Amino acid sequence: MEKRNFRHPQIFHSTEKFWLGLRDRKFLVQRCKNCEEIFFPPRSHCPKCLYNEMDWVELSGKGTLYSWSEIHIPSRNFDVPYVIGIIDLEEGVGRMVSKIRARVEDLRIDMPMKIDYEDAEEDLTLYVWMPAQS
Amino acid sequence: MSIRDVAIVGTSMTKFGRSNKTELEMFAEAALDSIYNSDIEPKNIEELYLGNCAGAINEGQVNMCAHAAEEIGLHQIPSTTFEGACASSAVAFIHAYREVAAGYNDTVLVAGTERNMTLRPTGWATRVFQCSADQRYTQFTGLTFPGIFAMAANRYMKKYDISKEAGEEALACVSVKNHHNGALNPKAHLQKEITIDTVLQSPKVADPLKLYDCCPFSDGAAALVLTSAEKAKKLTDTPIYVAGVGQSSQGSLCTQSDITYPIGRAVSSKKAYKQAKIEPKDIDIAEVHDCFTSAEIIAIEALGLFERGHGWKAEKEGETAVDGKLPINTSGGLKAKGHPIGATGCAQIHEIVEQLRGDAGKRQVNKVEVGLADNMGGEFGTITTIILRR
Repeated sequence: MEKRNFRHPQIFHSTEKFWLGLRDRKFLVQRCKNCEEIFFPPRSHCPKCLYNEMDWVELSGKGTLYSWSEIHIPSRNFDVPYVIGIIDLEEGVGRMVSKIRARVEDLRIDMPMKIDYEDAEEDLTLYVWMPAQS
Repeated sequence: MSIRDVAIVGTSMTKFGRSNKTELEMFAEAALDSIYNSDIEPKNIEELYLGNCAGAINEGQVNMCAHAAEEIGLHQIPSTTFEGACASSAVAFIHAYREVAAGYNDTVLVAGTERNMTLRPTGWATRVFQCSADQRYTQFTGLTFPGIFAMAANRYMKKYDISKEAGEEALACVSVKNHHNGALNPKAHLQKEITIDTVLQSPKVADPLKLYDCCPFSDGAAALVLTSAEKAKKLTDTPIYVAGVGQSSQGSLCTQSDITYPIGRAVSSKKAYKQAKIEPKDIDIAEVHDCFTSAEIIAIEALGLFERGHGWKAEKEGETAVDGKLPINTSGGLKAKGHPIGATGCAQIHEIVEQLRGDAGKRQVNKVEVGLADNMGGEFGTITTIILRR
C-alpha cells in the first residue's frame, strides 16, 4: 500500500476540478446550476439549495487575513515553524484555511492577501496565501 | 412529548494521567465504582452508552461498547459506542438521558474511556486529534488544534482591541486558576500550582499559545449511573437531576462565521436553558471545555455566562475562581484535571455532581444549586450543554 502523505490532500470526485485548476494556476470554485450560488469549499451539493450539478468559475485569488498563528509543535510530518491562517475570500463566498507564506512580523489581521501556487508533486499543486503587497 | 425526570445516582472517575491499563480496563474501574456507589448491582443496568473517540486508531479496538459490557458482566444488554471527538461521552450521556426520560429504560450506565497519554509520541497524538478537523480542506494544511485556538485568541484580541501582552496575561490567568483547582483535586492529572510566569515562559506551541496554555494528553475513564427520579429517591438522599440538555453540530472551519463566538455553542446552550427554565445568570458553577486557555474564554462568553468581550477581564479579575462570582472549572478543567478525550464529558458531569452533593472537598463552592457542563468536540463541530440541579 502506498504510504499516505499527510501534507497532501486526498482528492475525490467532487473536488477534483478544484485541484486540477490549481495546476493551471487558476482558483476555481463551484457555482450551483440551479440557484447560481457561488461557494467555497467545493462539495457534492449546493449549500444553499442542495442541488447537485455545478459549474466552475474562477475567483480573483484575493482576500483578507481573518486570523493566523505560527505553529511550533506540528502535526506528524510537518517541519516547524510554519504559519497557518484563515482567509476571507474577497468575493464573500467562503473561507480558506491555508499555509501562509510570510515573515510573521509582516502579518496583520484583516490585511489584504493574495493566493499563490506551489507544485508539490508532478501532478499536484497546492495553494498558499501571502500578503498582497509582497 | 411528555418526559419524566431523570437523576444521577452514581458517579466515578479514575485518577487521570498516566495509566498502565487498557481503555476497557479503565472503563471497568470507573463503571463498577459508579454502580456500587449507586447502591445497585450490575444486573440492574439495562443499557450501556459508551463514549470513546480513537480506540480504533490507538488500540486497534473497534466496537468497544460490546467488549465493555462483557468486561463488567453486563451480558447481552444493548450497548452502543458514541463518537463525537472530545465530546464523545457527553453525547453518550444525552442519549442515555433521553431514553430514561422517555421511559424506554429505567436504569442505565453512561461512561467514557480513552488512552491519550501512554501510547505514542506527541506528533502522533496531534495527528489523531487533527483527524476531527475537516479532512478535505483543512487537515493537509498543517492546521493543528492548538493552531485553531491560537487563531481564535488572535482574532479575539483584535476584535476587542487587547494588546498581545495583556491578552497573553489573561490567557495565563486561566491556566493559573485551573492549575490551582487541579491541585485541590486528588483525581487530577496535574496537581501543582503554577504562576503567570510559568505559563509565559513555557515553550511556544502555536503563537500566542504556549505549553501551559494547552491541556495535557491523559489516560482515564469516568462513569455515571442514570435512573428515573422515582427510583433515585429510593436509592439516595442526594439525587442530582438532569434539568436540561442541548447539542449542536457545525461543519468545517471554512464554513464557520465567528470563531470567537461559536454559534453552535449558543444554539446548544439556549436549548438547555430553555428546557431547564433558567437563564445563564442562574448558573452557580460550570465546567467548560478548556482544551486551551483561549477556549475557556470563548466558552464562557458563548454560553452567556459572561458578556461578549468581557470574558478575558473576568478571568484576570478572579471572577471565575472557586471563591469568585461564577466558579469555572473547579475540577481543574481539561487543563489540569486532564483530557482523556472520550472520558472528558462524563468527568465534567462527575465534578458538577460532586459539587451539587457537597462532596467536592477543598474545592467545594458554597451554595451550589445549579451547575452546567459544556463539552466540545472537533473544530467546534459537536457542542453539548448539560445542566444539572439538586
